[in-house]
Amino acid sequence: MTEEKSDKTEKSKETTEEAAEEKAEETVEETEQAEKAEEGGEAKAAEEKKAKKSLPKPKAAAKKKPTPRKDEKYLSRNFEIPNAHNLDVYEANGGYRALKKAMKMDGEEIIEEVKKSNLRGRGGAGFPCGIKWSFLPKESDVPKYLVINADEGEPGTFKDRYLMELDPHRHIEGCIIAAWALGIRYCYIFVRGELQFAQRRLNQAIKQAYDAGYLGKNILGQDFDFDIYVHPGAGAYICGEETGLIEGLEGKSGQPRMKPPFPAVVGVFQAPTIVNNVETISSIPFIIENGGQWFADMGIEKNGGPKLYGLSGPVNNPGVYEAPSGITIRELLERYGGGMRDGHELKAFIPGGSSCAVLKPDALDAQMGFETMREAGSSMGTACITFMDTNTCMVRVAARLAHFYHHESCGQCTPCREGSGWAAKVLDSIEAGRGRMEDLDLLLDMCDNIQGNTICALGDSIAIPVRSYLQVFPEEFEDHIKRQSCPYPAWSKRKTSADSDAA
Amino acid sequence: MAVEFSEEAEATFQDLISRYPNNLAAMLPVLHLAQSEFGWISVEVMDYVANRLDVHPTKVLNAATFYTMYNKQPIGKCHIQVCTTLSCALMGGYEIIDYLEDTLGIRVGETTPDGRFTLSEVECLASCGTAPMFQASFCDGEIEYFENLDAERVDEVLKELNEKLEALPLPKDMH
Amino acid sequence: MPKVNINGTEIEVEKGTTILKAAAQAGFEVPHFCYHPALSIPANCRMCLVEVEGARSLEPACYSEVTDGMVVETKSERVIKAQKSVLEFILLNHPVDCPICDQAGECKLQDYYMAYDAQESRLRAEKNQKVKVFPIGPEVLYDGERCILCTRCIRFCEEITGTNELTIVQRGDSAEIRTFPGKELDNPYSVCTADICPVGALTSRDFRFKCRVWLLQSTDSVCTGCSNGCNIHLEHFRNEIQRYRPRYNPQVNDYWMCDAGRLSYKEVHTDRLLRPMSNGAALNWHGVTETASAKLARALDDDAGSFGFVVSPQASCEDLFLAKRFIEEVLGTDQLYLGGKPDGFEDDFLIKADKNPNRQGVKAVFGGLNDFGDVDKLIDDIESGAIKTLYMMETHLPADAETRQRFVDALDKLDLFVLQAQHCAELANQAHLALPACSHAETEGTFVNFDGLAQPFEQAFAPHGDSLPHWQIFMRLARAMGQPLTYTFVHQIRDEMFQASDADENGEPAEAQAE
Repeated sequence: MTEEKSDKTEKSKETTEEAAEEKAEETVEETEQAEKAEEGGEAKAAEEKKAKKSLPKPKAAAKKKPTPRKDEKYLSRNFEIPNAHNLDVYEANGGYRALKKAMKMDGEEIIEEVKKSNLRGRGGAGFPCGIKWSFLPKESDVPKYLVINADEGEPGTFKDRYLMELDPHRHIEGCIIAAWALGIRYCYIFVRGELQFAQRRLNQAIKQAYDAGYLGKNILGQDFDFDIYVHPGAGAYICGEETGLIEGLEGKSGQPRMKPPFPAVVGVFQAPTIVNNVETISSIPFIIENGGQWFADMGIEKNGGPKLYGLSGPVNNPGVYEAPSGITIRELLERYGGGMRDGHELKAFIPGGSSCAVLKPDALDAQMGFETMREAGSSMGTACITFMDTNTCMVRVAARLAHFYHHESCGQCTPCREGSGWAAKVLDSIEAGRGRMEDLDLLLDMCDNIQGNTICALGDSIAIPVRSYLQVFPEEFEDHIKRQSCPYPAWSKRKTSADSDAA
Repeated sequence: MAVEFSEEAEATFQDLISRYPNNLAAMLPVLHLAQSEFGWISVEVMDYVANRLDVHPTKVLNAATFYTMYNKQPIGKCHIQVCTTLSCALMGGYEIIDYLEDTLGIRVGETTPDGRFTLSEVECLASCGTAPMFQASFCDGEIEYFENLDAERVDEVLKELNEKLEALPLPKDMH
Repeated sequence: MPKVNINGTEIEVEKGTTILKAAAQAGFEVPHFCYHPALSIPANCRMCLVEVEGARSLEPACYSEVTDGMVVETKSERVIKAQKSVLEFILLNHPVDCPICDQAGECKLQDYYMAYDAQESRLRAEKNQKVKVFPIGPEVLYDGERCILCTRCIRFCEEITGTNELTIVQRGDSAEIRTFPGKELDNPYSVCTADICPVGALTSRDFRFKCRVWLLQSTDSVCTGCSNGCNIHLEHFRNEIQRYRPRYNPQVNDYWMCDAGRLSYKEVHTDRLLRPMSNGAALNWHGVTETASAKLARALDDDAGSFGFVVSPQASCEDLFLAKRFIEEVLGTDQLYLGGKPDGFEDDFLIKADKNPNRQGVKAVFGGLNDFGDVDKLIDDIESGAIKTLYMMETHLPADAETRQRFVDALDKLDLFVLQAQHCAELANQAHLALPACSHAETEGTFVNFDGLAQPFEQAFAPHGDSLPHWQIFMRLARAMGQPLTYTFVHQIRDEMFQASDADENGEPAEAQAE
């Protein structure tokens, strides 16, 4: 068994390597093309600069995203297929086969396969999906609910959006399979309000699914009724917290609830509820089609299955890519991301959304996986990586993130409500050159006082990153304080983080 | 009450409340519907929504002021919301704001004198791979993302938007 | 019954008990803001975080239920650090305007700061500014800067009064408490929100800047606003009542009282009859007792059958007991009428339509209300001449303005009108004899509420002016008329009264509950 497994891993490594080599070649070609385009554009750009103010460089013309081999793609398989968001195209490419197979299986069987698969929650926390599903009571006097957390708001994260826009039927198929397995009657997909296009695509696909008999009453001729509704958010990051989301779904302000009780016992409308991330549910059809073991064998231990990664920041090819777990950040950056853009040297990166600790380039060889990233001193989070270059001020980054959490704090509990604003104020003053050495210990103390003392994990999301910037780049903070100014180029000619007062 | 849903909006409203076991749960989508119908969420609109959902008006006030997408004041026909959270900031989001401020002649938080554009700075819009970008929200409820921006592209988009805005009313006139 | 170890003390508690309550049982205070025993548990202030063995984070004691074998530390280093940090966070944007804040002296933030924090501020930036002196209701003011968003007020309006006037607007540290624009916090119990507000964010407009709370003396008393008999702290300074606050009694009013009752203290200091008067001229007690006894004796000689007596359900049981003895033994009249305030607003919570505190007391002392005539009969009897002498307790009549005017007009027909009352109410000048009685604040006694519960009230300060308790006035007159009713202390009256009462199940005065 182990041999087979290592064989398979070897094979998948090989294919990844081959694919990476192909990509590297493509990248070289592209860079040449891009350079040529730039030269021509540069003169024009210089002229324009005189007329307008300084701006980001004009992007290269037709930029082709390097794609992994077709047979390696699962979650992103349909991204490049035109109209794959329509039922006919989706079915023509094998869609709803998994559902038909699942509905010949028993609910318990399906839950076991999901447990075996080691599918970890793709929203950031990495909680094993199969175990979460097993918390749902089998019997219930009230209807049970499936709630999809499509409130993608973690800074740096942008993968669920494409799953909804480009492959909505896969997601719907996953929902129906989950509902079948868990005895769930209704599903709400809570999509953040700003992603209207994603909502439209989902709604279209849902209607097509109803028309085809995949949703509604007596699905596929069995005694199985299931409805899915899209529920829009309205601009609150805190609705990405599962109980904050439930509150928003119930029509109230998104203030998270105390846990216990957990949603599986007391969820939306006081009924047993499973809350899952978009990517998690979109992975379910693959588990049904190919089996839990197959899924578990992909990638490194305890981190099975295909995974989407996002790359953002000054890299050549920002975007969403697919690979199993175990891929290193370096591979993602260089082979998929095409490396840092010309003139931008890597200084730091955040591996999984702004709530993760920042890492230096010496951590580039860390493998993507929940345990491995924890060992590397951060977390996998949403697996969407933000890269930062040597022109970026770490103090300013910390301040900007503190402002983000300050804006998004629901205000319910004291440490987060007051601490987020205070952290932002102190970081602003350091960045603006008004800091004092005591401020550094003060900030660390503040982080200690917030983390663990709040109703929900937003408190931790402020404390962990802020602390990491202070601990990973202490010299930068001290430098700002000593020279009483920021030595890095400004992000704006007018605005500083201190002026940032979004929404 | 002066505000009332049109026939079309009423049909949507009925569909929305049928999706939930109680009317309070329809609050978020119904407020979106009300904003697209009436241009903005005034006290009158909140009262109307409370009445239609059969909930106490303070519940509507609580939701309407908690969430950022509901406008409690009438703003421009098109709300340009530029993302400046980390990835966008790294890729020039603040420069896009500077450029828009110069081009539109207003500062963040303000509306152009002709009532067409309001400019805001917002938090992460899940578009980090195509940064810098902004979201354009229209008074009829439509939302569009404009990504991979630079000065040229911004000019193009503004031209596009201006054409589109000819047909749209001013939110302050919508009820 | 789970056993829990708190700070080394092991106790057994009922299943479902929270750590907070268990700690209180074991004798340990766990500081808290947002928790209130009568309201739901939001666990948002984080002040009550305690250390539970085996748990990674600190747990909110108000919310977490005790499990068998749980080991809790409420004074460990981690807990102390958390307490200091929560107070620091609250004080961060807190205006600290104690010098102008009514809450000073009864402010949880002040108390906890002194007990658990006492650190200097580390803030070097501007504090957030919010709305101040906001008239959130006709009786209540809101200060957004002082507010710690514990949501007690919101939960009170949701769960106790069901009126839902209050909510949070905005989010994060911009959040404030508000009503719906155009609406007010105007439920009949609105000032209770100021009671339960742990800081000076919600304050009573009536009490604003009136008196520093440490100058107040508190007396256990009972509200006289209606027959519910809400238990109160009657708080006074220099012999003047500054305010009422509800006193906890789970049988009667829990933690609450209505705004109208709360403001009824003003009657004690408004339009008081403070000097004995004879035909409009002020006398001393000696003089008026002589005059009164002489006139009453002559009236009895002339026509004993034409005496009428208005009994007041505003008076205490002790007053009524002596009134009954005076009526039976000294006056010998059986023409009794029931006075008191007219009925008013009632709800299904605390407010009763009967705006008199002691109708049940009249019933208990006189053995029923059937023998009492109503206002119409009183007016008819005066107009017809059936009554020539009227002895009236208190100035209230259960009548509308028109009927009251008829009564006032009819008074001319009386040969002798004796008024024994707290207030003038334009009757004192018409009375041949006006005897100043004192309020419930100036004596002790018992009221029986609508439910038959006998409740004692204590004396707060000495009677104002020359006023005296009703029972003392009856004693003076009785002695002057040759038929003394001898008591020295109120409790003597009380003992005799309770012995005399027949089927009075609630014989013992209710035990006042500690808060």
